[in-house]
Amino acid sequence: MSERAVGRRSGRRRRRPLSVTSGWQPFEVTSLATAVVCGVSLVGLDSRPRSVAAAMPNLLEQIWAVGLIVAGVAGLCGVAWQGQLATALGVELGALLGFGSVTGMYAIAVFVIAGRPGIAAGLFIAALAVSSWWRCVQIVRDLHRLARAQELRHKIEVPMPVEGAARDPSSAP
Amino acid sequence: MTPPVPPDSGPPWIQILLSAIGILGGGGGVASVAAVLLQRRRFRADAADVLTDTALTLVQPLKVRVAELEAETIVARQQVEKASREVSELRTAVGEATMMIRRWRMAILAPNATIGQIRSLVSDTRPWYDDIHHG
Repeated sequence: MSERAVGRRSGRRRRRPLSVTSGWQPFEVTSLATAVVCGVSLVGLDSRPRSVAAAMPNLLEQIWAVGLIVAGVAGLCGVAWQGQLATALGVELGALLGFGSVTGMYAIAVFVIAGRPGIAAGLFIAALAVSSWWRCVQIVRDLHRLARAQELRHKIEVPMPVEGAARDPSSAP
Repeated sequence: MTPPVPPDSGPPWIQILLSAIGILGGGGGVASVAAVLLQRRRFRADAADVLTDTALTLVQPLKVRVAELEAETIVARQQVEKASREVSELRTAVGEATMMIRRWRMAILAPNATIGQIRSLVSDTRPWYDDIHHG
């Protein structure tokens, strides 16, 4: 990620803008949109995958299908949110936690019910869960850095740093 | 890998496990959204402070270009300083040469000028003439 370009530990930290990893990535957007389409289809057609129907109680099946829709819609909202950054990251974090558990449940159901023939499908679905949790870790780290930057500003009361001020003033003509 | 079981009946532990994962995931998701939204003040940051990596991707080539232009500016400034120094040196040399020509002209046009005087005057200024030619 390009955030390595931003110094974090040195004395110039206060002069640099904080870099936040964006969720607007092809894999994430496509996965969340697929979750919405998949959930709407399952609920609308009142159909469930066989492994899900076998492995979950009836109520959990309904919750699982609705959870696909909710996680997908909330995740897309969080990714596309134009307002406050923390709100966007928080909504995306919650949605991806839900999406990770929904896909994780599906992967476990496929592994357990289908056995060896389900290895490929189960692994791909499990990869979705792992990538969701990975992204959750990224978001938590970014939120932590946002909070730390805010605390530092309150302590030091530095005037608003902008990117143009990152240059060494002694090099100015 | 567990052996295949009939599709319409899963083992009971899988139902418990999936229920637990579902409750944990859903509850964790809702709780994290609520926690972040309730503590939004903690995470407030001015827009100028935060760049998403997408924005950084856009800014990075410009930063590289700015660095190149700054380096070029430094080189150009050094060249300008060198050139103006040379111009002032040449201006001094031209002034001296003009003075010299004026002195020779006065010596040549003097009513009582002799060829010996003029020769001695010119031979005195020979070093200066060499200076100009040898840079």
